[in-house]
Amino acid sequence: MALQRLRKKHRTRQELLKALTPRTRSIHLSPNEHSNGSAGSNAEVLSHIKQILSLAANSLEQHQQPISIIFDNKTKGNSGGNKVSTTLDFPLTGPHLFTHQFKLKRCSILLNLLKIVMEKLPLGQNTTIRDIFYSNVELFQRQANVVQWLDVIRFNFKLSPRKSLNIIPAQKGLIYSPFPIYVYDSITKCEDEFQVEKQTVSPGKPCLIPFFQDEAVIRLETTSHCNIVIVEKEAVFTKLVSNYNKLNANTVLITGKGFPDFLTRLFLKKLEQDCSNLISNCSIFTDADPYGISIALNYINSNANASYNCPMVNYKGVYITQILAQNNRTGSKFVQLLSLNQRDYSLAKNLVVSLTNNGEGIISSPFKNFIIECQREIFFQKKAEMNEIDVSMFRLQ
Amino acid sequence: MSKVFIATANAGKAHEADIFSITACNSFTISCSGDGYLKLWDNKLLDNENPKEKSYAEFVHKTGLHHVDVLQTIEKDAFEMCLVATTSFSGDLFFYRITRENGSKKVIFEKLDLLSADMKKNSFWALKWCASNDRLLSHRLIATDVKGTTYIWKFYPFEDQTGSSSPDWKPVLELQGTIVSPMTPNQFATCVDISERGLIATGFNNGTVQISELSTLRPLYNFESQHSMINNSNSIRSVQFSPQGSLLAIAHDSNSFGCITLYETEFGERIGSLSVPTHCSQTSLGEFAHSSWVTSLSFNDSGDTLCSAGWDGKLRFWDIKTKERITTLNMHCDDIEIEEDILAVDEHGDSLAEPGVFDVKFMKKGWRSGMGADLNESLCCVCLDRSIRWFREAGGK
Repeated sequence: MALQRLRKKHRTRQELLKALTPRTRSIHLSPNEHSNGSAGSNAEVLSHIKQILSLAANSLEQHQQPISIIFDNKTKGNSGGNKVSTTLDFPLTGPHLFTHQFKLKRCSILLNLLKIVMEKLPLGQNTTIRDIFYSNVELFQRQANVVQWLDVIRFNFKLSPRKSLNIIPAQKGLIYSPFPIYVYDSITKCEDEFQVEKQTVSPGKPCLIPFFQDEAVIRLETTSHCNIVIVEKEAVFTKLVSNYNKLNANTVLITGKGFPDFLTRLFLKKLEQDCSNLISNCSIFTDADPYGISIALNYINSNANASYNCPMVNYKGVYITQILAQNNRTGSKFVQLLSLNQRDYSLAKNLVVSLTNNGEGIISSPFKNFIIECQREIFFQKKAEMNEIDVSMFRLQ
Repeated sequence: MSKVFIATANAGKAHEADIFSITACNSFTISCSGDGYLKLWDNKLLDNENPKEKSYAEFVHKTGLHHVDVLQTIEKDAFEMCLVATTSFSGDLFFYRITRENGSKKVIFEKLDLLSADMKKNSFWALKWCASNDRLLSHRLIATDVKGTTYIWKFYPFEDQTGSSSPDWKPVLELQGTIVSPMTPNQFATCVDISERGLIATGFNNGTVQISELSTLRPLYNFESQHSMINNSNSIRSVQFSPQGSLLAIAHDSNSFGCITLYETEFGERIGSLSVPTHCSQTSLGEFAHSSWVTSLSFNDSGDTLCSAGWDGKLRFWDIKTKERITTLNMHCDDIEIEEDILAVDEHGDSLAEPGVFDVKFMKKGWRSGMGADLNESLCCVCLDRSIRWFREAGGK
């Protein structure tokens, strides 16, 4: 009966559809839409999250009204101005009911993350992204989803990327030091109240690089000069730790396990800033393949953020020519040489193109070593891994 | 029959980066390097003249150059033509016409644009000119790309081929066709050569050599190098037809050692390998020509001597009939006459005392100037210490 009445009122199919679609309640994720100013302190973030969650709950429970969450998305390659607004509807209606199920998932990820933040933030402890991911694998499916949606929350709340919300990436970098290293980190307890926290990298055993803020200060507890050796792989790191006596005295070993995380790079940058008078040398060793070159380059110069770039790092190998030389030396371990595949070739070619793209020739380029190594790997069409390389290679001559 | 080669000239620090390839024609020795320069070295030097005083450089591409070949012919109406083709690490193919100014004898590089926009999208690797002695047949250019395709072009220097009185210089490259690699995934085509008898040999990264017919561009047969089943490090480094075209010499890796295998071209039969006795403990299949990779091969004009360049810093000369080594030339960084030009250590800090040889080319009698040059063959090679060395056969017939 009601339908008939509606049909009389709305003659066309379009109008009828419109009349039958329930009105939705819009919830803006970004606080700026209503109140000016960013959500600076934890308390503000908390209250804002509470507001969003209660709005959503009220709408669904009390008013039986669908909600749509509206948030801004970062646009790639465009730092300011253009923001792209995205809408997530819950529940789905109309023709999208069966085709847009994935949108429902996004909505639940977002609401879940907000809830997790709301629970964890008042505790004042750091939580890792990995822990959050494993708390509900079924929902998040991939760890990248957690990262992505945390970024959305941070962007909309105008928070600094990576460090806010007390959620941090799990540390990846390992360090082994013969002497203690202290990290002095100032932590905001409340507004205008700081507390200096001291973390120690204990000597003589490998440990994770501790988490610290941008403003932290690092002190090396040594009087003599030290030598920093960065290696690409954990396997080589462990091998060097167990053959530590074959290395130079006072060597600090660091590995970022493949491409380094921001924390490892920040740690090195801090070492360069705070302790350069105590560091005699800093070298990096990676696999003799285009990825190795790319990883070494990542420590020294990555376009992402100049404040992480660490020019004191010297790319010292392992070069394909060194591996050949070791293979041809009688009595030394044999390292398997592999052919470059098309993917390796493209990467190496792109590396050469981008490294030589800054106008100056190879002669004056600060990345001459990298360019030459790239060219040789391409020319010989060979790559090799550093696992079986002689420990003596890591000694300073 | 013993042959002795004596050093006639050398140029240390000829380029700022590795010199990957060298070629020669009557007038010039031509080198190309990772520093992006193409350099011409005058073959006709006076006694005690430094080769560097008569060298001419042209900057080609900032990613560096890795292969170069030259075509020097005299066309109808005594039209002298000297064309250089070179490939860069970015995969581009460049052409230059070399001329000399009438009075000052200054060398002029004229850049030619011979490829269509579509063709420029390919990443070219090795290349080879094939001069035709018959006026009715065109010269040819063969190049390989990184996906394993071989391209064959016909080269026409003049606009009108019908025999008008004065030829109009208008160079055109006309694609004759392509030979697609039979392998999946695509293999890198590392080297290419063409024989007097109209055969094309393309060497691949995975150890295969494909022989095709020039007239039909039909693949005839494949050679698999003898080690291909045993290990995966057997890239073909060089393929070289003997001047009469009856033999094909293939240089390929066996892990970090280098082998040379000879095939006859009519039926594709393997007729032996060139090897020296080794005392290597790492492999039981010890049939090596060099104790490191063989980077390049070159036949002399008569085809009875083959010269192989090794990464072990040696040039070895082989008698093709007996398949025995005639003589060995050992490279040493101290060979360079001018002391400032000696490069004993590269920028990585590795010793260049016995620099690996990148490329070697035989030069015909009369190409170089100097005592006995008309009676003896010469030879030029480029080494890892960024030097070019010229040798000539002692004695003469």
